[in-house]
Amino acid sequence: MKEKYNIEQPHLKENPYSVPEGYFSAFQSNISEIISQKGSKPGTWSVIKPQLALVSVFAFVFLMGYAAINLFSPDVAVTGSDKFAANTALMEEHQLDASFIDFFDSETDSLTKKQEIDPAEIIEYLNNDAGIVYLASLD
Amino acid sequence: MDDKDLLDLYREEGKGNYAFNLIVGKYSERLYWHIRKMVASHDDANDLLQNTFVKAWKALPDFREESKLFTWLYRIATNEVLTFLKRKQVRSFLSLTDYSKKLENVLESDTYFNGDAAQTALHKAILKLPEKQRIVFNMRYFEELKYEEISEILGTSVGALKASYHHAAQKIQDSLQELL
Repeated sequence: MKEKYNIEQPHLKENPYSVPEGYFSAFQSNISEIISQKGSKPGTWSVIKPQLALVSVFAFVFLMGYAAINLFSPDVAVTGSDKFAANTALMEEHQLDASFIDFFDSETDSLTKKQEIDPAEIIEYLNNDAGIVYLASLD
Repeated sequence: MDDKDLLDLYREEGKGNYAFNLIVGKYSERLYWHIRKMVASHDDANDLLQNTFVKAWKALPDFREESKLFTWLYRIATNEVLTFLKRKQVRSFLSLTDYSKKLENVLESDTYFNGDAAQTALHKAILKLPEKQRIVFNMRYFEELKYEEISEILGTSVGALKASYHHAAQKIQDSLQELL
């Protein structure tokens, strides 16, 4: 029967693997180069940075859109209260125009037109209503 | 320079790269052997070691020193190795090949492996172990880490680690009986 092999023999614990000549010093320079390319200490900022960039892009696009709308339609730029006042004035003006248009009649305007009464009409009027002449004579 | 001084230096304005370079110099060799014994191939070990330090560089600003720097780096390296092996195993499963057999072939054809018959048999037997058992065995057998340290790195209880090591050692001894 075979004798049981003892894995605790010291020579078995020796490292039989090897590496190419100068591997570890080359590795250190290699890592140093990699981390230099990646920039100095990364941290919370490096995590937040891309997210902030994304938010900035959205904000920029939104502002550009807003500016473009304002630029090509100037009425929109008027503030709410200004717009209300302007609309009210416009409405009042139109309403006034409408009143004059609807009720102004140059034929019957007593303020602007001199009334010319025919004397024959006066005599006819007085003849028709003799009571008025009598009353006037009482004075 | 001890880890505390290295971390203090790292936190000084403009000294980050220099301090990290010192950390790489201090731990790269140790971590390399830890990884290499798991994946056998030098090229794979080199890639994984590089990934480990790049990840450490990214995560170091948030390192709160709740564990030792060495433990923290080991944990990153171990996670890198386990992820790598899992990926390789999935690929092997899809291509209907045995990944542990592949690792043995890597060992045989590796120009950077200079073991004698007993050492080759031992390392072949180690490569046949399940990954987690292999990690525990390597850490205890070659790196002679305490169970408490391994527990901190792997997040496994000391009792479970002892049992795992015992099973692994038994399997390896049986394998060596067959191979030698």
